[in-house]
Amino acid sequence: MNILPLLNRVYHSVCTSERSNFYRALYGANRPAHIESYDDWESLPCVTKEFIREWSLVSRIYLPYEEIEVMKITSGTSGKEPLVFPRIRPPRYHNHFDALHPTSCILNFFPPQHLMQRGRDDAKVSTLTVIDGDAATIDGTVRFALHAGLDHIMCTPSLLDVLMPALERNGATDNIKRIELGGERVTPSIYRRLRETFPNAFLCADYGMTETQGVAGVGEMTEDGAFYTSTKGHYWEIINEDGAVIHDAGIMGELVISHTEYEDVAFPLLRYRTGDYARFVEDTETGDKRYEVLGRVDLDYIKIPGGEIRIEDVERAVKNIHPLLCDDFEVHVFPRCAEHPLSMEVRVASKTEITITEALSQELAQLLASRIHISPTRTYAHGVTDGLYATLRCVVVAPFPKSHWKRRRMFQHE
Amino acid sequence: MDEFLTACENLRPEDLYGYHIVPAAWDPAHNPAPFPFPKTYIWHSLQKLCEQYAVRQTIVCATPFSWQLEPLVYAVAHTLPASIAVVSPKNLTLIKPYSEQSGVDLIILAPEHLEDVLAVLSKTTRAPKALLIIHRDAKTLRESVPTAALPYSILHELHAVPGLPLFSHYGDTSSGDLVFERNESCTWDESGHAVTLPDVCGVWPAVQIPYRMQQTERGYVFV
Repeated sequence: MNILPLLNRVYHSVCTSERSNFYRALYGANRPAHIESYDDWESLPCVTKEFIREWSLVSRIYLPYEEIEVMKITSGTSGKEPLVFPRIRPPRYHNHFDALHPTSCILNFFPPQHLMQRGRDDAKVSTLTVIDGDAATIDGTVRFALHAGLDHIMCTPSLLDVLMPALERNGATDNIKRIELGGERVTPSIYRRLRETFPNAFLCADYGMTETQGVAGVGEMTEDGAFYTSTKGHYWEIINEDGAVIHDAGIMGELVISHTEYEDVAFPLLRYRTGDYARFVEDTETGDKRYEVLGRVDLDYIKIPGGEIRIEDVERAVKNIHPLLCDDFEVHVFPRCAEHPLSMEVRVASKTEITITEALSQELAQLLASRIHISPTRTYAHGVTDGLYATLRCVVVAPFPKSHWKRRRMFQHE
Repeated sequence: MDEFLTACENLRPEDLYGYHIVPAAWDPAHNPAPFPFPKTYIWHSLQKLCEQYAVRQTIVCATPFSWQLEPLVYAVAHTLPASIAVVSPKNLTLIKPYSEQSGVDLIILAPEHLEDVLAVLSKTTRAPKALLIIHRDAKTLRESVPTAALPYSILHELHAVPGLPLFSHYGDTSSGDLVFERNESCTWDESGHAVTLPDVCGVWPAVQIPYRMQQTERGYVFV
C-alpha cells in the first residue's frame, strides 16, 4: 500500500498549523515543501522525548485544549519526570471488538475504563461488561469480575504473576476465552505459561504506549513470541543507530512510529522514537508488515521476585568500586528454572586490559550484592540469604565499544 | 443493607449487560455483588460541584480502581467539558506532573489517601480548586477534616455505593459545621434512617443508614 499520500497529508497539516510551532521548530526552515518520496520522509528528524520536554503541553497540541477528554502519563522510569499526553477522542476500539470472540465480561488493567466501554458501545456490542482491574486488590477484583461473567482479560505480562494464581484459586482458568497482553515484551516462556494454564483461551498481544494514544500494533502470541502488524492510522519504521531506516528483515533497530490519521489526535506523532528495539520480520499475504518487538532500548529497571533492580542503583553501586575499573557496566538477569533460582551477573568494564583474580571477582560480587537494592530496605544480598536468588556474579570485561546509540545496560534473559 | 446486598448478589451476568457496575459492598474481596448503573446515569452532585468551582482543567480520579468510578467521572467531565486523568492510589505522586503540565482543578479520592494527596500538593506549584473525598460512612468523614488553612476547598460526599451519593457537601463551613445537601432522587423514610435507592435496575430494598443526620435551615448536619 502506498502510504506516502497519508504521510504527506499529516506532514502538511502540522507544518501549516496555526495552533502549534512544534514540528516547524523541529524541522527548521529548510524542510521539504511536500513529502513526495520515502527519501523525503526518511530525511525528517525523529521526535524524541527530550525534545517534547522542552515544550509545554498547551504549546505542542494541534487541537483546542477544551477538546481534550483524557490526559495520560508516561511511565517516567528514565529517572525524569513523566510526560503528560492528551487524548481528544477515544481510539476506534470498535475494530478491536469486531475481531473478538464473543465474550461476556472483560477484566481490563489498562485505564481509563470508559474508553473500552465506549468502544463496546460504538461496536454495538451490548452483551459485554467492562471491569477496571485493580492490582492492589487482585482477589477481590477477580471475584467481582467472575460474578459478572469474566471470560476475557487485558493486562501486562508482569501482572500475570499475581493474576494467574488468583484465577486458579477461584477455579476460573477454564472460563477464560481470550487473553490480550500489552505494555511489556511478550516472551516465549510467557506464551507457554499461558497455554498450559488457560486451555480454552485465544492468546494475542497489543503494542501501544501513552504517546501513541492507543493500540499501535496488534499481534498474535506464538511459541516464538509475539509478532505485530501496525494498526490503521499508524506507520512503523525501524532505524539504526545512525537514524537510517532499516528495510531488510531480521535486523534489530529502534521502532519509530507515526500517526497517519491525525484529525482526532491532539499531538500527532511524526517519526517518534519509541525507545523499543524491534525488527521487521516479513511481509504478510495481505501486504502488511510483521514485526517483532524485543524490549526497551533504555530499559532501566527489571522486576524480580521481591522487588526490582533499578539502573540508577547499580550505577551507584558500581561507581568507584575499584581503582582498576570504570563506572561502565551491564546487568544481566537470568530467570529462575528448575535447577537454580534467579541469578544476576554484573559485567564491569576495566580501564585497561587486565586480568582479575577469582578472589577479587568474588569480593567485588559480594560488595555489589550488598549495595544493589531490590527495595528501599533490602538488597540483593538479602534475597540470596532468603534463597530467592543465586549468588551474584561479577565479571570484569574489556571497555565497552563507543556508539552514537544510547547503549543498553540492562538485559533480562529468557 | 443485608437485603439490598442479597438483591445485588442475585444479579446474573446477563442482567448486567450494557450497565456500568460498581461493587455494592465497596470491597469486592468482602462481597463481589455488583450494583448496576445505566449508561445514561449522571453523577449530578459532582456535576453541580464542578460547575460551582468552574472546573475546566483536568479532573484527577484517584479513588481505588476497585470502586469502578472512572466512567462515572468521565460522564460528568464530558459535559463541562474538562479532561480526566486516572491515578492509582499507590502512585499519587503522579498528581504533581499532571498538576504542572496539564493543570488540575479537582481531585477525587478516598479518605485514607487524603494525607498522601496533601503531601503531594504541598510540593506542586499549581494548586487545584478542590478535593472531593468519597466516604462510605461518617467515621472517615470526622477523621478527614484538616485543621490547617489550604489554598483549595476540601469537599465531602457520603455514598451508598461508589458513585451514588446520599449526602453532598459543597464547601459551606460558615456555621462551623459541615453542611450537606441530601440526594432527593432517592426515597427517604420519615426517620431519615433508611433510604431506597433510585430505580436504575429494578426496585431495591431499603438501605439502612448507619449514621444520623439532622435537617437544619442550611441543610443537613451530623448529629
